[in-house]
Amino acid sequence: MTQSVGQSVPHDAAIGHVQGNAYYLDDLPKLQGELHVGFVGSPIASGKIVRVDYSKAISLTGVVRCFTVKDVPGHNVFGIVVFDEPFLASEEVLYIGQPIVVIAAESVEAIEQAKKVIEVECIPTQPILSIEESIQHQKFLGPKRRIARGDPAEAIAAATHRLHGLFRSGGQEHLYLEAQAAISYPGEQGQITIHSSTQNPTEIQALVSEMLGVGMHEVVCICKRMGGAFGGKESQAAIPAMMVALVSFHTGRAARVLYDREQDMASTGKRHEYLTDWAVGFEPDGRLVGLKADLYSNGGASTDLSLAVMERSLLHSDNCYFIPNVEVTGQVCFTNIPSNTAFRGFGGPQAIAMIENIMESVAQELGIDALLVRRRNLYGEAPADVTHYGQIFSENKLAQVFDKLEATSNYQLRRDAIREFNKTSKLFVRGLAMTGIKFGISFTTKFLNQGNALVNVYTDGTVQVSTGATEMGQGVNVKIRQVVADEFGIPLSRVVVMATSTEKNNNTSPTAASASMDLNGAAARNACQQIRERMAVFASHRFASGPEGIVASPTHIVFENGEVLDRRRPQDRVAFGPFCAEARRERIDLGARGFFATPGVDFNRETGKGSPFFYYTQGATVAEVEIDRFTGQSRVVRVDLLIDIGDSINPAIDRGQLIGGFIQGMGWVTNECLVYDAKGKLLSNSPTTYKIPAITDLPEVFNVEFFPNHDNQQNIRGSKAVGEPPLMMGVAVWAAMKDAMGSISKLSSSALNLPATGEVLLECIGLGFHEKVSLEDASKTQLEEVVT
Amino acid sequence: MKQDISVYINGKHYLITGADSFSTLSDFLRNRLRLVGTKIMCSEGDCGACTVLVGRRRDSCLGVLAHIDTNSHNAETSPDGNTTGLSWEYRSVDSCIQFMFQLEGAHVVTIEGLKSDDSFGQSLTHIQQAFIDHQGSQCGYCTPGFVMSLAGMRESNDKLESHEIREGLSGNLCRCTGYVAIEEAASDESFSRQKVMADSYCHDAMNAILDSRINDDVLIELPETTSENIAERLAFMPASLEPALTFLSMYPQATVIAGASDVGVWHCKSGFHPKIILCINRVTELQTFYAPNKAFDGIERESSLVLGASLNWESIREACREWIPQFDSFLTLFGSPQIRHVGTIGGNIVNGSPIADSLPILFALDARLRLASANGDRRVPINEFYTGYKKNVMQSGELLTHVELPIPKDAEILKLYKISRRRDMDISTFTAAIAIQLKHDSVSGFKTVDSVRVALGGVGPLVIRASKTEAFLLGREWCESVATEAGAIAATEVAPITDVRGSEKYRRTLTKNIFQRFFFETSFDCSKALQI
Ligand SMILES: Cc1cc2nc3c(=O)[nH]c(=O)nc-3n(C[C@H](O)[C@H](O)[C@H](O)COP(=O)(O)OP(=O)(O)OC[C@H]3O[C@@H](n4cnc5c(N)ncnc54)[C@H](O)[C@@H]3O)c2cc1C
Ligand code: FES
Ligand code: FES
Repeated sequence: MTQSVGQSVPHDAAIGHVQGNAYYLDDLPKLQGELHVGFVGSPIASGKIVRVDYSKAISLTGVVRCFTVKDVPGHNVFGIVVFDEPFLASEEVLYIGQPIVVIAAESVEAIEQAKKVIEVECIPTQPILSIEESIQHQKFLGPKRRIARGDPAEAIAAATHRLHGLFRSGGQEHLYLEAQAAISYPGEQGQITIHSSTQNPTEIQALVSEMLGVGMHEVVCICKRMGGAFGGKESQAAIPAMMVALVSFHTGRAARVLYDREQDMASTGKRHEYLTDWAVGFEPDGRLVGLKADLYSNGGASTDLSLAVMERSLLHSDNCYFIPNVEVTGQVCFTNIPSNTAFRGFGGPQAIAMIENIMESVAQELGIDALLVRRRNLYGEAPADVTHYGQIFSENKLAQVFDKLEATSNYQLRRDAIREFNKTSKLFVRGLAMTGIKFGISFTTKFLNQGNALVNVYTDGTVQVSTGATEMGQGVNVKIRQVVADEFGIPLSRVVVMATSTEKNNNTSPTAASASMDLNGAAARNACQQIRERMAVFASHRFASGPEGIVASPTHIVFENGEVLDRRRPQDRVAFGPFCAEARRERIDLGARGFFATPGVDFNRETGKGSPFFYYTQGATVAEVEIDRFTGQSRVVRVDLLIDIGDSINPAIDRGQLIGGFIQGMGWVTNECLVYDAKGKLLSNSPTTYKIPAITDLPEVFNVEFFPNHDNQQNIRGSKAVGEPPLMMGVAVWAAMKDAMGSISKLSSSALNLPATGEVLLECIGLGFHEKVSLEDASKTQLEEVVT
Repeated sequence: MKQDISVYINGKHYLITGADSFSTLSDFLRNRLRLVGTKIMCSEGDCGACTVLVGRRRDSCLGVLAHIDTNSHNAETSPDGNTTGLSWEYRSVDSCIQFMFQLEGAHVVTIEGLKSDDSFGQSLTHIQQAFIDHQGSQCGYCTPGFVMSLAGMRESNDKLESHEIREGLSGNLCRCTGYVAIEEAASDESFSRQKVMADSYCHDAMNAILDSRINDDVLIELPETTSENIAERLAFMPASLEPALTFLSMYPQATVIAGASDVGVWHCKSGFHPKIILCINRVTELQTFYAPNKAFDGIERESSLVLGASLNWESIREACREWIPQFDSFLTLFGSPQIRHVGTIGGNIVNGSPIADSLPILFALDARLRLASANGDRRVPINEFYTGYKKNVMQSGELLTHVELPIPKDAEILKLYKISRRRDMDISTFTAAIAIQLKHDSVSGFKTVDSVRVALGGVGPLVIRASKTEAFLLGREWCESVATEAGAIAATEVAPITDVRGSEKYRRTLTKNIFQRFFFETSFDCSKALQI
């Protein structure tokens, strides 16, 4: 029997997916008496609540009860890092759609009726709706963070060339297909079980217990699977879970909430929009000598995960490049929109787009190919192997990855052909770019880098494993199964991964930071090893034989091909199932709890120094785009991806992560565009008006490859994390668009921000015809005014 | 007159009455039958998670072309020579915006109703197995919808080319996979072995029931009208035009519903639940198509296509393919396959959105609309049909029955444009139709503009004919500077607004640029692609 690890076995729930019987929350059968839950949110972005009247609603047939903050028995204000997020608005409202009244009813129709007659009266105050306004009013969330090395101001002043500018990247809606949802089942004596579509069951458990004023031990949170999450259910699954918990607490009935799409999009947070004020100094060969960048993120109305997101941005401002003198600062801005939150990449994409914009700008300025600039600046040998926060970047594969991809993508030939094409084509302009990624793996908050697992071996030799990892499509369940099957040398079919539940795994970290397999897989393996050790001792006595001169030796016991044997007498073997039954009769403990804590990672926020990452996932992308000169519409002609993810535990699953992440990143940099009205209401609040990539947006030619690498043996089975890194490979598509704009005019190129929608591109193309006003300078002075 | 809706779901017969008749198909499936494999994501036709197949027999089918009659290739002769030999057509549909009352005579197949090949040894069909083999699912929420779309494509294909897969799946969104694995699953060679619906389900009983009611009108009353009681909600599904017009004269306030791809969205998103409904998707007269040179009602329409108002977009494509191929290919950008399988030309026209994709061509080609009421018929040129934003000259009791669409003259160059944020499955930001005829001046050697018709959409409350621009162009030499100037003039004729799909400025720039683009496209060979 071959090992499971390394095989492309299908997703754990693939059969259920294709048959439609893999259940998501709203597919669960309704319990007798179960209530539907909905809510009424704030009509305005900022103001004071003066009156809430739901008397008309509760007189409607079918409406059971309405709840406001007054009905919250425990704490109403929570937060992952800072306690500044109310569950239900009490006096102040902070964003449009912020939940104020929770409705419990016998039917969805009754909720719709109730919403129409609930009256909420507010006195509006002036909302803060942009990063600029927040800077102007100095309304920030948390302290400014800074990471620095050397003296960038002096280095930039002394450099042969200097450039500075403002760069904006837009937010991004998660658009997980399953909306936020939760169901609660009241238990005995005030206990409660919550089924939640969450990446973070432990947090749901903690927040529900605080909100209800009961102990954590009285709350169980279960998550079987999510219909997509991407970070959007790391912290933001909490409010819907608290809603149903509140309803069950007061009514003693089961309760279910499923946000409708508009509610979900309008009232939950997204990827942070960023605005960066940057300056670089560089030499004629493209070498950067100094970088100063002040990053501002749009945090929304509460802190949520914004500080950690910003921290990761600062840690990724270098991307793949060694810059001797660096100062990056980060400030999270308060605005009156739903609190922005985790989204695949977690601040990494914004920082990487920022520095890649600089690479393109430097190339434009020097009139050389941006690939040359990138290569000149790649991390290399000591001393050019130390990041600006002091971590040594070992196992650097960037140069090799770049070499390989430049060759396989035919970069140079295509560069020449595109130059020719752009000279002659009346209708289209093309662009080409190659960008890299170096993404640090681990939570930058040290304590989160732990995982625990529960492994139960049964007397027929089958195994159940439970960890804190939640399945959102990324395939963590099947990978854990593969690891566990190999530990006992049994077929994959003998192992099942159970629903994630706080009852089995306590104090777990969110399934995030790409690290859930690293942490939970390692914990599961640890549990298996404990059981195996006990089994080996038992087996060694079982196989020991005086006459044959075989003494009991646990180290000689082997678990393979579904059998247990002593390597010295392989002919005497026993099948794993009967062996387990025997072991139980001999009172061997066939269950264990495993634990793993990532060794050696830490980061000091105050000094901005440390080695926060266990290792880096690295890769590179070449993208070619074509843009219509008259309409701005674009298409991606060809993409080549090359990524180093070590020894893949499941290549097909990882390939799926790679491609899916890339396309999501491509969406972020091209057509995904959040539009708000002047009052802070989200207009792009459904898939009708918010356009994620469709199948027809796929690159016409799409080559995807893994870079062979076996040197990440410190991690589980030599693998590397793959969840988030590919999203940032999408930045290549944007860089190619910038390159295309450069072939029209310098102004067209420097005016390009992110996302590059058709409208934005056409605007930039238009600038090529009248280069009079320097847009960059105009907006620059504006920001300086606000900052001072 | 029947008082219930006869519908099959996964081979089982249901007679629907009462409130269920007004439910959406997806609600009925999930809440009444607990067929929860059909997923809901957007409730407005934009994601395809709720895709099911709706099968209809050709003679009962919304959008069957009348000129492709029972004598043509579609008819299957049955031993007893009656219509029951007709084949059933299964098309993918977004069940979240279909109403139960639209489904009289239909057979709905959901993910739970896919039948595997027995020899396969599992309960999985080939398409499903291919999804597993190619890792076509991650979170799996979109998967049933994709499988159903592919099952729909299987009905008329043994093998799918890459462009067919992409076009055919453009109505299904996936946020996880990046689609590549799905594309690979769709190109798996086992596709040809997937059982088609004709082999999955025995249609005899369905045919018998359909035959027994195919000519009956269906009326649902809620609650049923009695001596004391008048119904609060009515849905009338007539089989022919006359009762439809009679009903409309009795209930002029009735909401007409054809494909419901607009009304269904209002139902789900804006709380629009009409009390009195006239559903016209069974009315045979509205599904006819007359090719040019065919007599229609005694009047010769020598060079017009006559299109029934209830023809869906896939049927319109078929009808136009030979005569206005540009329209056919343009319509691949209309909504998604699921939307084109239900949405009708009549609905698009009467809804009358300034970004309705069919309007620019109808304006440019001077289409005429045929309106009917119990009091008689009339014809209105489309250029005189609209009176304001989503307002038109139709009077109460009137129904749009046909669209007369003149085909472009032989020498006329016609181009249609749709600019949207995302290329496929998006609502337009800007649309245009430009038809131009050039004359070669033998003296000067120049080309001059002999005739020109320009219609623009998304640039104001109404689709407009750019008459100043047309007047300017007429007789001019056809060259780049003239095209540029035409654009500048057109930009003064429009009054666009800023909305979620684009700014006023963007729309004005597009208006300006589209003439240059048209000029270059028609004057040079721009097809030369860059190949490496
Ligand atoms: C996801 C999605 C994508 C879409 N994409 C596009 C697109 O790309 N381009 C585009 O233009 N539109 C698009 N639409 C809109 C819609 O599909 C079209 O307008 C379609 O043609 C409407 O036809 P219907 O039969 O479904 O209309 P219905 O919803 O049945 O009716 C629409 C309106 O027309 C009236 N009506 C219908 N038929 C008649 C008649 N014969 N006489 C009198 N009144 C009548 C109805 O009373 C109603 O007011 C899209 C819709 C959705 C949901
Ligand atoms: S749920 Fe999205 S199309 Fe029906
Ligand atoms: S697999 Fe998650 S949306 Fe397609």
